[in-house]
Amino acid sequence: MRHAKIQKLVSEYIDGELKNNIELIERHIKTCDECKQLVKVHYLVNETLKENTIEVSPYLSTRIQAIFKEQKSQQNLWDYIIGFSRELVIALILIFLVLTSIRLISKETSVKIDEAILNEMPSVQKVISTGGDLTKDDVLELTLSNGEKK
Amino acid sequence: MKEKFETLDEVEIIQLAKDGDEKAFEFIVKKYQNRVANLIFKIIGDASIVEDLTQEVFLRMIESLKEYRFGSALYTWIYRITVNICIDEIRRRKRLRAYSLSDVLSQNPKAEPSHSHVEKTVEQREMREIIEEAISKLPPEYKTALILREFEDLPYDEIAKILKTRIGTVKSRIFRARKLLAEHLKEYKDLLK
Repeated sequence: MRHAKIQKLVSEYIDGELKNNIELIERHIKTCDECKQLVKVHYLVNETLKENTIEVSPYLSTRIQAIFKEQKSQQNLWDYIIGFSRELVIALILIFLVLTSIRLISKETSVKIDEAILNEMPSVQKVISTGGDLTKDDVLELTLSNGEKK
Repeated sequence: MKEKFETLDEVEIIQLAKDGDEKAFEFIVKKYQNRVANLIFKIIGDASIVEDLTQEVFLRMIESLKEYRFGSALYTWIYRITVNICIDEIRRRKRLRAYSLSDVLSQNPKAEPSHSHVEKTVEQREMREIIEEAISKLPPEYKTALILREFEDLPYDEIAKILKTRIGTVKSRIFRARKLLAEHLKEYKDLLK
């Protein structure tokens, strides 16, 4: 096994994370200066880090909650403004859609009425189909049919 | 208040905090504030900003409490927020340092970094100072993994969750951190004897 690989295992051994080859690593550490240094570094770092600790102010949690409440109240105002704007935009879109629909429906109805009028007046159709060249019989027939409609 | 929450398990306390119970949140802050503060202190190495950053950790925690999933332990989640805030702070400091250095060089083109070598011995300086200085020189990702292992005594899998990385990467970072420290401390021969 290469030494670099062994050194990695030594680091795992130091941390109690090595599952296999434990005896091999223990024997190696006893004979290898470089690996002994890794163990020594671990002790020094562990000791140093745990030696010098600090404590925060007992009022920290109160301060955090006060800041959070302030942020929340500001957030609530913005939420209200954003919510109101959103509702206004939705209402305007709905009004636009309703007006457009009404316009389309009324246009379609008017076309249908025009068609209905044309269908109800054979005299006009006849005039159109003959290009205005009517015989006396045609005129008589149209007059009678219009009279019937009335 | 303390007694009430001590009888509840962590999931119940978090649920209460999620539902807006201020006392539950206060309990969480009080339980973790010193651990978070010390982790920040060890990673950044500057006591003057520890309280501000601790405050930031818990404010970020309240903001994202609704997104918290009960899959991981609360401390894993809080430590992840802490590490992220520390990394942001380290980056911010690096940018500031780079800026001030370029500022100085542009103002005085002849200025050069000092290379004066000071003879260092264990007798001259406190051992703790030497180790702390060596740790502070480690790359942030190595330093964070090493501190979570050596200071918090966390197992590799928990460190991996906090750092959102693989266990193999954690092993490797801790090993490299120790190697770099050993290299650095070679100057102080008495230390590694």
